[in-house]
Amino acid sequence: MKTSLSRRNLLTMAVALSSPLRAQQSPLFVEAPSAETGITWVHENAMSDARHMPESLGPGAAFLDYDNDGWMDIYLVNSGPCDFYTPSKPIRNALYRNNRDGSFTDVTEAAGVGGGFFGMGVAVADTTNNGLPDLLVTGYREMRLYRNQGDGAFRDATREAGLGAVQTNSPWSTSAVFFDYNNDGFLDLFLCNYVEFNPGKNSCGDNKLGRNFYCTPRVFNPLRCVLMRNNGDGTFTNVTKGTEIETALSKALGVVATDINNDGLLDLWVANDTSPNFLFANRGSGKWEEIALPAEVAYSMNGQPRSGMGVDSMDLDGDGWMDLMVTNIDQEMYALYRNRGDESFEDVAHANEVAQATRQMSGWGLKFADFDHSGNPSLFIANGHPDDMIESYSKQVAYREPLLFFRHDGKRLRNVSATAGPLFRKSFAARGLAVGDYNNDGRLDVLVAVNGGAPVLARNEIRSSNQWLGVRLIGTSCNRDAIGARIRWSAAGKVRQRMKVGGGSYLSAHDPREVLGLGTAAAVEWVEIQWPKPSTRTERFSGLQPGRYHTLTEGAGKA
Amino acid sequence: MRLPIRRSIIQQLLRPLWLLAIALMLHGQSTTFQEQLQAAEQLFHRGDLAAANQAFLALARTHASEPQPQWYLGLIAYQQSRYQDARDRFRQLVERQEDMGPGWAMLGLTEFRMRDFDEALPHLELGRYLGIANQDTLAQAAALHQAFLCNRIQRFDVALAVLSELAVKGKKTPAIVAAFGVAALNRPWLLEDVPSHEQALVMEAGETAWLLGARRQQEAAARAEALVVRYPEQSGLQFILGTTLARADWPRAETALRKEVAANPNHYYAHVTLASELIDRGRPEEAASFCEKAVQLQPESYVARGLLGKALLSTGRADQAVAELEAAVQLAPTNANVRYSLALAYTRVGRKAEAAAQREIFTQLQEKQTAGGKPVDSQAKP
Repeated sequence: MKTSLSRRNLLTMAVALSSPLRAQQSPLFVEAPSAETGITWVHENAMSDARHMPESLGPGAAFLDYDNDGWMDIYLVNSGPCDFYTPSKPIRNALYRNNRDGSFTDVTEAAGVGGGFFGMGVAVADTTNNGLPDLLVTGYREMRLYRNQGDGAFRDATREAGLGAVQTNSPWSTSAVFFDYNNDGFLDLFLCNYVEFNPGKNSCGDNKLGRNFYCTPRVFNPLRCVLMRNNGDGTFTNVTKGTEIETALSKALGVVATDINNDGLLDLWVANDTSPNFLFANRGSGKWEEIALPAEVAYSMNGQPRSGMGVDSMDLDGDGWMDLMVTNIDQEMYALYRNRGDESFEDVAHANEVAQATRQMSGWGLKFADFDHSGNPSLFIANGHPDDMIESYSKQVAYREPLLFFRHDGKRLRNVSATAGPLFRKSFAARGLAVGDYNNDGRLDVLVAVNGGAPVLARNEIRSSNQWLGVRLIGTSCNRDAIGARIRWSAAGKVRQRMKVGGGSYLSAHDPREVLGLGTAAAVEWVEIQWPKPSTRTERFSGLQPGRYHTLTEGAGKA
Repeated sequence: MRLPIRRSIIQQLLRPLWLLAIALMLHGQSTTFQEQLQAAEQLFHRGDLAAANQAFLALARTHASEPQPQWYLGLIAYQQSRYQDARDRFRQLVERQEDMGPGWAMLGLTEFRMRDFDEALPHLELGRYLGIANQDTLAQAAALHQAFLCNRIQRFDVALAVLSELAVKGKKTPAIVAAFGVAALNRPWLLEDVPSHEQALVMEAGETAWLLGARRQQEAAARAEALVVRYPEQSGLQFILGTTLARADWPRAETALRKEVAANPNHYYAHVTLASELIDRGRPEEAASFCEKAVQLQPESYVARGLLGKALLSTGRADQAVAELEAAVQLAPTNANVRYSLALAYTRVGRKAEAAAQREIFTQLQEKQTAGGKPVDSQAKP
């Protein structure tokens, strides 16, 4: 009698044993329930029979530490009264203070950041280098700069900051980004403007259901984006005039500030809806060159403009050049552009499983981050079709769509959404997406803003043996948020690098800290910061303990 | 198969066109002329075509530079089947007013009646391109006849695109369905050429293609599946099935398209559809052979050459891509997409100045399309 198991038997047993294990795989993200978080706020999309376009595009969301206690708070943007909408009950934006135990407390009233207009998105930055993050809320017909007073309250500084005229000339602002375009140490502002919308004039009706529907953006006239220079005294000056930013007619929805050519000047990658995207190359001295067409990121491979919505930038392949991404509408597929290093890009969405996963999807917010501490960036995307009646005419496309998550396998991205847990089997009318570590466990969580619904706080539950290190950068001669900083770190002899971009995603703002994955290395040898100009410093910090956050201040490292 | 457009319907529904023409042209004219014109129009409206004709002839003599009498005289001649006279009137009209879309459309329809098909097609296209404002029936007739003529010269892609514009608006007549069927089956026929034993097949295929044009993919796919079962040996049906499934179920669509090209190796559109989808799905290596076959089938096709160029470009064969894309640009100089691909190819091979020049032309063509709608160019081979 044969007592030993053959190799074939062993293989069969291994497969039989591993199958249930696979089925029981831990979810990568779980939805933190409202009962646990205390977040009861719900977005009111103001959806009307007339189907006014602004109803379908919001909202955005932000992670920010407004009270500087080291814990990420949450800001959520709502619609509000405007020329086509009068709320039947009071609605407002919401600021939730982190209680440091997984729950939040609504402090909107005390903070004075309720909005009161038809809000779209939010950008967060320390605009005065005083150590306090300010809030810019964009919107339809109005926008607001809330300046952080440092006592738990904000005040409306829109006009005193010189943004009143911009508000008038930006009838529909969407995403915004603070970044230092002129390297003077103060964060400037780039504002995306969408389209000319007139509720009395612009409507699209009589679809197959005999009803009004949300128009294609093609029927609207474009607007112009705006660049505001920070004067360093709390005010801004409009410096758009005479630049290619002024001449480029946009239907802009998303923006990220990144450095595509490693010249130390932050460039702007802008998603346009149904018109060519923009890549504004910062040539210094206030000169901008719009190079999206020669850079091969304006159009699809077929030379067609797509419906660009959210954007982000990350050095995905670790070659030292910042790559770009943009989400589009169904049938267009999202684009993932690899930087060739010569101000041109190659769409590698197919090779990274992004194109295949997104053919029937419509994407909005997205963010690259090291969600699994592997040292390589993963990708999280929020999706949902803008037309709430799409399912009446399409069997393939849904109004509410699942979230997508891609992990980096060391060579490329892999779509792991199907095995990422029950959250990824749910569907949402998702729009904004913010990334931040709200429970300070080093695992980056995701806040998804939902049109006409409650936000989704996706808690990162990725289990691995990988280590991490968190850094909060504080500039002293450069902008205090250190946007544009280059970060290199060495763990077990492997050197990795990253750039701290400005903005990214859609209508949203992120945890200002950087989480650096160490892989399986137990320690980090050093972290090197190349501070953005006007700083000339490149400093190394050593002796940093993994598994916690560190504050790295410009000038405190070893040159 | 004879499914003509009834003239009485055109007469009835062209009325708003007269009003439009009056509104556009009356500015600055004497009251006397307007009164005479109105009187003539009343005769026309009453259906007293002989009297109306006399009245407009008199107006044409006394006001030779005015377009309205020519327009009405052309319409009356068309309705009385005096096509040569109608053609002359519409020709004079568009020579005088080159941007008059309805004039070009009526000229094209008249030439169609005279079986001067080579003249009719560009005139119908120009009429549609210039615009047939608020003239639903004339617009429909122009589109349908354009589709008939595109089928005749094997521009089935343009025919299907034009017919889909009607289908998506819910327009459905036996003639539209039949034209869809001819186009979907890739038969170079006018409706009168459809053999009697093929009529049922044409109408069934047309119903399927109409549903696809109306963006009712699921129903279209179900019909296409039934067609394939009912006519298992009929060429062209796997192609229809493949196109109906392409968005919803690509693996099955790919199988159907591959069956079509295997069974019908001369089916040009099956080859270009398969190639285009494979390129779009990041499989340019596989697409290349279908592109090459499509080029072999239609060497003068800018679509086939453009696709082959893209496939070559995507697989790192930029030098060869340049040659194919230059050929595509020669064949369709106003096509923005091939200009874009050529610019990419020039960039790859380091011909930067030429790449910049192609991008410049691409941008101009894009702007023109955005400003005025996409020009229809059936003279360039598909």
